[in-house]
Amino acid sequence: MRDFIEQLGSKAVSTFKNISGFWAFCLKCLREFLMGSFFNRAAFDILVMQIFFTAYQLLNFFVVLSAVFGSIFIGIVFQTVKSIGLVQYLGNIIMGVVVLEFSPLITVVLLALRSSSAVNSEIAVMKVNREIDALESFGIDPVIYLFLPRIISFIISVTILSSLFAIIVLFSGFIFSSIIFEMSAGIFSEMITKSISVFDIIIFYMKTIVFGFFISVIPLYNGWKTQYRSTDIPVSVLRGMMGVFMSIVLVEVVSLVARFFLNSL
Amino acid sequence: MSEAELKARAAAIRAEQRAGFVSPDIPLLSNLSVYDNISLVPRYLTTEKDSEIHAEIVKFLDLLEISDSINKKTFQIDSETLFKVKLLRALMLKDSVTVIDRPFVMLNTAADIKPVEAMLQTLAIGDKNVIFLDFEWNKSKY
Repeated sequence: MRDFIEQLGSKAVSTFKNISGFWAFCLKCLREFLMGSFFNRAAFDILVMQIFFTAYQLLNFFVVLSAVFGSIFIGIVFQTVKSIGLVQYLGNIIMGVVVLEFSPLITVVLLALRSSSAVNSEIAVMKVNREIDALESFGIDPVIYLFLPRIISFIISVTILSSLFAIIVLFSGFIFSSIIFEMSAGIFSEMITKSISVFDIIIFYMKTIVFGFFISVIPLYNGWKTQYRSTDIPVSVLRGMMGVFMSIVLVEVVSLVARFFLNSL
Repeated sequence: MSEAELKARAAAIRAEQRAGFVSPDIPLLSNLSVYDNISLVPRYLTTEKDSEIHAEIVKFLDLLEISDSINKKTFQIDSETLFKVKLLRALMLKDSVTVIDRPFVMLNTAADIKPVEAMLQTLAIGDKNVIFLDFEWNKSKY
């Protein structure tokens, strides 16, 4: 019984330390962001390079994926709407489900799979190879040089790519609406503008910012916390990716609840 | 001195004063080129112009006869070049001492300290700015 209580206490303490460490890390990153530390030219170079790797290199694939996946999805939605006779809610369904929920979610899942895992393993390898210690020994703050540019680049990338996905899906929606419902461009755009509120746009961008923050800060923290053992690298990536997945679900749930309350006001 | 004592001494120097370290425990960044590794310190810490930093690094690389390695990554260079790059990175930390920690671990083919002294002379670095840390049994190599 005593052993059990000790184990439980030890687990609780380690979980608390881990969570408090993570939030302290987030606060440090936020403080450096507010101080504009990323304007340091060495850090700014990393920021530009990271945007190139995270958003630009993915662009061709992303546009094709958005066009194909978005068109198929919106085609299915349109057929379903027509078959159950909810054509009058078409605008709300496109904006509410496809654009505001589906676009950021698909974007963030894609970026998490492609870039969060890469960033987690990169930082973990740097930690194991003592490259982060090397930076610190020369007075270079890893938060400013390594972490902050990656966080900002993820936020920018998720925001831009989600917006792009939304635009492509809306364009697909216009094509499908003209084919299935014989709708003109004017009626389609009027239907879309009537179905969106300022709150929706604010929540959409807030969500992309929060998504971008968490899918970068969680792998960075896990990479940074890796022990000086190469066997710890896969464990770190595993923990990081689980954390990213949990955060995506959590942000999605919170945004849905927020939208529900704001729209019912 | 034992390895633990050496590491403690190195940490003490680091805490006491600003020091540019050339050490087997302080690696170069593997995802950066030779030039980027050396220029990182002044680009991050100073407001010196990029063109001035570039000119200084190119001059040093020429003096140490490793200018052909300027765009190479760390895995593409031999141990001697690696040592030279670490030395140049340490020298980029201005107004500080340069600590060369266990040089024969990094230059494992060197019979004595003369090649390192030659490098320092080539770069016109006065002895007073350089501290060597090494094992007791390597005393005869100095």
